[in-house]
Amino acid sequence: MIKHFLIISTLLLVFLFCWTYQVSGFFNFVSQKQIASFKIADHFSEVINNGSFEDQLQGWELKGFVEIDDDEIVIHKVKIGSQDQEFQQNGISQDLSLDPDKKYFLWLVYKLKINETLAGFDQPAFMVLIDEKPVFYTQESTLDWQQLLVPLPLVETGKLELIVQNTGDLLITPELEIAYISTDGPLRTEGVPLPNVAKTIAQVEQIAEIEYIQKNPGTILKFSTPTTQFPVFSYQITSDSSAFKPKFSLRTNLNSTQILLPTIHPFQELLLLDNGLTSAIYTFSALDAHDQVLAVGTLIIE
Amino acid sequence: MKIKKLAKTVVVFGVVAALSIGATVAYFTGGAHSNDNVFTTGSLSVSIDQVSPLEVENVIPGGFYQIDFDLTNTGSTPIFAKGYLDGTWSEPALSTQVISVQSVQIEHESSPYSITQFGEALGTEFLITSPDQIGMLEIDAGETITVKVGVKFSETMENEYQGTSLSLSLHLAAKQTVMGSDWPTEF
Repeated sequence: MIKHFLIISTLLLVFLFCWTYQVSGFFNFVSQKQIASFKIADHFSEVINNGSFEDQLQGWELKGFVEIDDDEIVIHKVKIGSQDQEFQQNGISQDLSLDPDKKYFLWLVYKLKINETLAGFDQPAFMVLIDEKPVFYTQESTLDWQQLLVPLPLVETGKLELIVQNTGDLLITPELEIAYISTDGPLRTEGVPLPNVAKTIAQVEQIAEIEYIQKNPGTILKFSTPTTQFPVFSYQITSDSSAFKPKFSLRTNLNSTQILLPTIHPFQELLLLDNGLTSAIYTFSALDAHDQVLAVGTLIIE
Repeated sequence: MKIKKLAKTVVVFGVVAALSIGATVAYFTGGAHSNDNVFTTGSLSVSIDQVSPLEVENVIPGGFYQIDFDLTNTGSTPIFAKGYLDGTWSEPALSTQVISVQSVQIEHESSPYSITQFGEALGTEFLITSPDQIGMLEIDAGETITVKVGVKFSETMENEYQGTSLSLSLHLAAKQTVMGSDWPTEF
């Protein structure tokens, strides 16, 4: 009887110990915490007139060679610039009425062909301007349709221009195709015969400027990067000297290859992170015609 | 006499059985749920730390954002961990299918490494695995790992999402690394 009492008492104590202190190798735990909040932009309303070109070129001012090209049956597209037509600039433009208190974004679906072999000399390019100020600039040819997202400046009215140009000789003219221009949201790819619409390149407002070292009076380099996980580095180089024609190079810790950008531009953009990368260190330098370093800067993305 | 002895035996077995069940219940369900940042029970404790929750305005379709936070094993025993993201719109009728988890990266001693497939839906669990992704990452007592979650808003978001807000929450589960431990059934 005493033996049984001791056994029971011992088990009771073990039970109480386990129950009270939960001494166990098998705990598991859960937790929940809010880690982010997002506010969706509240104004995607359309301010572009005939941005899908269903009404041909109605609503657009034309410059140089521009024609509607409906070869792809469903998608209406406009072709700007032609190898057979010698114009320094080709483009379309439209006056926009905006609410200056609201943020607008411009979605573009485009395809660009540049065959110029002397890109640094002739500066073939496609650019988007608002009131003559570039908001997008590229020299990269695209095999497939690209969907681009461009934040617009806070203005009440503005002239939207899409220009392709060759500032040098007119022997080779870039050709641009535009299938969609809208402030009402991206082109929905479902059911739309654009087989390779590229990912949207998210450009958001620039929030920071990195430091730069100015070594050459009269040379100004501005670096900035937006807060996004598709950060697009944009830079602007200006000079009060017409003889100043620096080259611009970029080096990253992600690979050892130095990218030498072909020439100076009023506005240029580079997609800095992609493929899941979330951090990088880029070193920039501007060189003069004799490869002397004029300025350097470092940009760290984390 | 035999009946009395038998009765004693039955009583003893009954008490032992009851105590065993009780101890087992205590043994296997030691857990806690907390809606705040830290949960602590027994010898296991994990904290989720951010400098501040990410707050983004003017989100646009196609936007991609990264959320960083630290997980610290503040308990006294090594743990395994897993989690998922959950989203709540200010307008309950809106779908969370327009948000996807593009990447979950872990920074732990070595270089950052990814532990998820590309473009998972909200609610999809991710296991915090080791860098070789063969097994789970053992987070020692006192150890901190950095987690970087990339989320993307779909390009197909329609206009009804304009002006609305989304709250993203991390649901985290942890268990001890000893043999026999199990994940919570819900978290």
